Amino acid sequence: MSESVVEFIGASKWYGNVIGLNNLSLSLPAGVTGLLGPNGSGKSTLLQLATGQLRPSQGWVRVLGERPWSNPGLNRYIGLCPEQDAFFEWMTGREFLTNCALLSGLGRAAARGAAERTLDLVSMTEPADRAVRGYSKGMRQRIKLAQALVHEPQLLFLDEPFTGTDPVARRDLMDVVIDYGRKGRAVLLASHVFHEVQAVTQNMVLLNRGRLVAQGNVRQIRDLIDSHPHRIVIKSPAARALAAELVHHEDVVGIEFKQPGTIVVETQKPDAFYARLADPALHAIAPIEEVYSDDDSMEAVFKYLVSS
Amino acid sequence: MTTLPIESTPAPQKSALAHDAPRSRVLGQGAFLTLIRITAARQSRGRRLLVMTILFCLPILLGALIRRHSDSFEPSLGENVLVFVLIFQALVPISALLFASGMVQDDVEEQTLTYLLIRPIPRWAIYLAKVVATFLTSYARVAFFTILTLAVVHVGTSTNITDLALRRAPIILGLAALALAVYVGIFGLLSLVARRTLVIGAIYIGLFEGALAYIDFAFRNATVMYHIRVLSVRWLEIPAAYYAIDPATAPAVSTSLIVLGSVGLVFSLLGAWVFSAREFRLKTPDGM
Repeated sequence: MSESVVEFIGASKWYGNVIGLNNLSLSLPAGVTGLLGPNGSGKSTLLQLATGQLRPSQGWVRVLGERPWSNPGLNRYIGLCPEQDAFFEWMTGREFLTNCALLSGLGRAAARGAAERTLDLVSMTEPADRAVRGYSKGMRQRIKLAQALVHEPQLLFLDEPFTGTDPVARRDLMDVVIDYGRKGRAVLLASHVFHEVQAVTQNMVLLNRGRLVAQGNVRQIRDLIDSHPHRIVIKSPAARALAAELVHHEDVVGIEFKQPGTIVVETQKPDAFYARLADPALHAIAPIEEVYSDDDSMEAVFKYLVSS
Repeated sequence: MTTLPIESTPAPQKSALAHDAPRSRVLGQGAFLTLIRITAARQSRGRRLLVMTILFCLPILLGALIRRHSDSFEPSLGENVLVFVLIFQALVPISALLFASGMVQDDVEEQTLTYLLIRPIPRWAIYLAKVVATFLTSYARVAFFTILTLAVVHVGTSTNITDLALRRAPIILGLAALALAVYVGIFGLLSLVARRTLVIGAIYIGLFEGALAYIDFAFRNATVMYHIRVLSVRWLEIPAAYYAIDPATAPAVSTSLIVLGSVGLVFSLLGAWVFSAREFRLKTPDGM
C-alpha cells in the first residue's frame, strides 16, 4: 500500500457561519488525483488548507507528512496553480517566472534557467517578453501553471487550471499535467468539469458542500452509480400506455412525464431494464421510437453523485 | 460518503521529502530582495503615486510663488512652513499612510498574495520586506521633493549653501527618514488590524500628530511629530517657540531617538507577528 502525500483528518474549515469544509477525512496517494465538486463545494478551501494559506478550524491536515500552516520550508516541495486569474500584471511572463523561482529559493542563474525551461514546457517562450497584462486567457493559464512548476515541486496542486482555455491550450496543459504525474510526482487537480479530470486521471475524489461524497476510480464510481436509479429517456407515441406497463416492474422506482410523447424512467437495474425494452410484447402495447440514458455522459455521472 | 480504493502509483520520493522538508523558517537573501523589488515596483505605479507626486509639488510651487511675489522673503521662515509644516507634518505621514496601508491590501485585493504565501518564505519576512520596500520607495520620493523644496527656498538667498548642503539638508533628510520609518510601521500595522485604514489614519494624522503634538501636555510625548520637532529644534536651531517646546523640559536627543526607534521597531514587529498569524482568505470565483 502506498503512503499518503496529502491527509485530511477530521478537518473542518468555517468562515464565520459559512462552512467551507466539514469534518473531512481524506488520504491521497502519489500520482494524479482529480478533485471534483460543483462551485462552492470546498475545493479551493481544501487546496488553501493543503498549501498552508489557511489553518483548519478543527482537525488536522498533513502534506508530505508535515503540517502546512506556518511551515514555509514545506513550500519548497509543493506548487500551487491558484484559481484566480491574478498576476503582477506589469511583469513580462519571463520576469514573472524568474521572480517566482527566486522567491522559491533558487539562485539568480538557476532561476533564469528554470524560467526558460518552464516557459518551454508550457509553450510560452515566444511571448515571454510581453507584459502579462497583454496575454490571452489561454496564455495566462499557461503562465499560471508554469509558476507552479518552476521550482519543480514534488507535489502539485491545481485549482481549475483549464478554465477559459481554448481546446489547444487545454490539451497542451493536460499533457503537461499527465507528464508530471508520470514522473512519479503527485498532482491534485481540482475542477468542476468531470471530463477534464477524466482526461487526466482515473482517480477521483468528489466533494460537495464541504463533505466527501465519494472517492475512487472512475469505473468504480460508475459501478456505484449502477446501484442507484438510472434515468432513461423513452420516446413513444403511446407514452402513457408504456408508462402504465413499466410501472409494474420492481426495478422501476419512478416515471416522469416530460414533453408529450416522452417519459423519463428511473430504474435501479438499467441492464435488465434495457433488455426488457427489447421485448416485442412491450412494443405491441407501445411502439418505442427512441431510448437514451440521461446518465450516459460522465458529466451526468458527476452531477448524479454530488446530488445524491 | 462512499470510499473506494484508488488505483495509485507508488510514492517514490515521499518519505525522503517528508524527511528533508525543513520545519525551520527558510529565507534566502535572493528571495527577500525579490520581495522588496516586487513591492517597490507595485508602489511605483498607480494612482496613489500620481496623487502623492502632485501633493509633493505643492511646497515647491508655493515656495516659488512666495519668492516671486514677496519683497521680504525670509528663507528660514519659508523652510519652516514648507518643509517642517507642509512636508513633515502633512506629506510624510500622508505618504506613509497611503503606501503602507496598501502594501498588503493591494496584494489581497488583486489576489496576488497567494504567489507570495506559497513560497518557502516565512510570513514575517514577507511583511518586513514589504515594510522595507514601502519605506525605500516613499523615502526616495520624500527626499527628492524635500531637496527640491530646500533649493527653491534657499538658492539665491543669503543662506550659506555649503552649510545647507553639508549639514542642514542631511539632517533634515535624516529626520524625514526617521519620521517616515515610524509612520510606515504604525500604518502598516493599522492596515492589518483595521478595516477603514485610510479614514482612521487620516484622523490619527490630523488629531494626534497634528493638534495634540502642538499642545504642551504630557500626551504629546506619545506623538511622532513631537519628537521629530524636538530633534529639529536641538539639531537645526529652529526656534522652539514655533512648536511651543521648552528646550529645558523637552526630551533629550537620545530619548527622542530611542522613542522613535523603539516605536518604529515595535510596530513593524507587531505587524510581522499579526501578518504571520492571520489568514488571508482570497476571493475565488466559486466562493469556496
